[in-house]
Amino acid sequence: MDKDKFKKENKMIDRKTKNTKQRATVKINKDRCKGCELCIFYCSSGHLKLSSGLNIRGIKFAKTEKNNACIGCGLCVLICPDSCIVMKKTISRKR
Amino acid sequence: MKKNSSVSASLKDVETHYCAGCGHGIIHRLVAQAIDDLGIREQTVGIAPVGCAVIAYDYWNFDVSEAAHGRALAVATGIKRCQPKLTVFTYQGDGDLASIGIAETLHAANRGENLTCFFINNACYGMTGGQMAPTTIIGQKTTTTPWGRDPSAGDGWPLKVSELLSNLKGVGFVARGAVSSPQKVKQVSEYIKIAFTNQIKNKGFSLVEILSPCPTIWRKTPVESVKWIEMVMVQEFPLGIIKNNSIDL
Amino acid sequence: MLKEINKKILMSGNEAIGEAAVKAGCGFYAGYPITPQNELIAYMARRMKEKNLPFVQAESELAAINMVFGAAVSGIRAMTSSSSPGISLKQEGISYLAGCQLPAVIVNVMRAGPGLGNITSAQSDYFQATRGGGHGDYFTIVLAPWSAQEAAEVTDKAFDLADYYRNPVLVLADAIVGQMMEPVDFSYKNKSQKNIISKCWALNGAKNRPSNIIRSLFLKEGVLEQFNEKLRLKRLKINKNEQRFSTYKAKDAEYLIIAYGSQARIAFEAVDLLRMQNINAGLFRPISLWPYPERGLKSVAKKTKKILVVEQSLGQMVEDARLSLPGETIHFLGKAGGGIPSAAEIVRFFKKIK
Repeated sequence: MDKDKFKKENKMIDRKTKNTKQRATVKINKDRCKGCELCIFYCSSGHLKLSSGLNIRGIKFAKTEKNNACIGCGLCVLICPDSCIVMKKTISRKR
Repeated sequence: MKKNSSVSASLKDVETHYCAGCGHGIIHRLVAQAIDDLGIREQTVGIAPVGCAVIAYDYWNFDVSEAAHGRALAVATGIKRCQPKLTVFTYQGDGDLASIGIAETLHAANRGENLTCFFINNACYGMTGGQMAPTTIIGQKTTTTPWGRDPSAGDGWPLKVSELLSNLKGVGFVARGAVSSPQKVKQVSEYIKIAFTNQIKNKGFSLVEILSPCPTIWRKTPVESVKWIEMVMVQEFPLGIIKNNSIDL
Repeated sequence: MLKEINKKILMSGNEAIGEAAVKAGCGFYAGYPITPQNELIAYMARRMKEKNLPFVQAESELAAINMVFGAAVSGIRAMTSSSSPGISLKQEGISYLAGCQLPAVIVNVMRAGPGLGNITSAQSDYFQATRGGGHGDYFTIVLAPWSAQEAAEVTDKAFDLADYYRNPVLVLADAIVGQMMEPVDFSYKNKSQKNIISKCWALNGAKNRPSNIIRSLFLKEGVLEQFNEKLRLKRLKINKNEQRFSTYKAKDAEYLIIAYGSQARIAFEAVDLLRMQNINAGLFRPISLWPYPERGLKSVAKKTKKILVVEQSLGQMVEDARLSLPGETIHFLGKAGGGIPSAAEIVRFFKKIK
């Protein structure tokens, strides 16, 4: 199943990290992470990825990209089965 | 629902024994958050199932009782009849609620017991290694249906508990959701809140069925598992509110 | 509306158990119809509802015992009743009650088996009652009344013992005791002490206290073993303190009959018949079947020449009698499948072995 097609069908916004203004930061508890990759799959700005190193469980864990492009959608927080993710908004959105 | 933290007073800040990508982790959190949002932690009693979530009481921070396999709704009836002011809920899997416990489930619902029931549907028996469940999809391979579930071989059809119970007068609210995407997780959280609120307002039996990923038994990655729910499971188990005429008791 | 019963009244054993339970503060009852205890569930349906207390006719005996589990978890005095086949269904629940250390009263108005059997009286559930019955290493206290009066008194006692020891207690009546109509005096209630046991372990909402968990599952290494040791010590304490029995003309008896429940009534008459024939007979009647009153039996049986156990079974209680009196020859007269020995039959049998 094509990831982009799947996301489109599920009405998800797919933004390119380069042109997005950071609106929040995300902290992931790497040792609690079980590497399920659901947050990576659902991240709207695609800035989460699987680490190359291993955590204390011996598992590759989810982490943010170096250029933190989090837009504060909170989908990762909603989907994480292990309550690993804490999101903090950096600016308030004005309409 | 607060987005910046997923830990709340009713959820212990501990690691769980659940597999990577297991729906229990998400649903335990949603139940805890609903209890905290409604401010009912000190008047809540939960009943844990027999299944992977048998030690759910290690993860929740309110009164919880164990129950024999399938008997959670009978235990809940006893607790609620003795302490009607408490909010009493059961948290049960496929075998617990729909197989060995189907009589207790049906009759608690039929009596219109003022209870909240969470039915975690992962289309198999997870804890014991992946046997057929009442909710197993036709053609789905399990350890007891090695060639796929086949009604012509006497395996029966997937049991639609939500639809079954919605026919009963004593049942006020039935909804089916899934925790296969963040949007659906949010929807489930709303259903959970309605199910608890109905109990507080004495509006009869509330059931929330939640399609939940089981990567280990399904032999899929967590991402493949949520896709399987979205593509296959929802065809058999349609999502949405199935009944909402919460009756006044 | 039934008036409060404060004087002697004619009622069946089943009803006496019901009234005694209500007077003992039973706060929850769940049951399922089965002969020969239908009078009890009907009585509870009326009385509990009159007092605005929860009564549930459950969908099965299995559901009923689990509802009792829920009430017990809430710290409420809870009772269920059934007869032999239904008690088989309850075994899982009773094991869980014992494993979670929950107080509850279970009434078995015995009928003949095995299987569907018959609705007539029997005493063939002795093993089931006194050997745990369900899975695991546990015992339930078992009290066996022989009259409607005693049925009321042991039911009252059962609730106290259940609370005190945090253990399920079984009242083992039989169809004869359950159905017979006799005068019952509830004034024993005024004499019994009211010991309110605090139940800080109960689940009633974690307000101003840490949350409570009711569980019998202990997966960490060594923990379940420790817990079973705790149960073993409880068993020793119960065995020491709760042996109950009664005797009739046993002081100078050379010939002893051991019987319980309705069979003790027949043995009682047999003792009188034997005495009329100048045979020094006496009756030893266990009231607690678990713990078996072996201390009482040992002291009564010191001077006896012959001992006969009379039971409505193929031989269950007789084993406990033999365990209590090693080296003694214990004779046995058993009637299974609902058969009842007459007093004359007991006398004839006794004279044969004399």
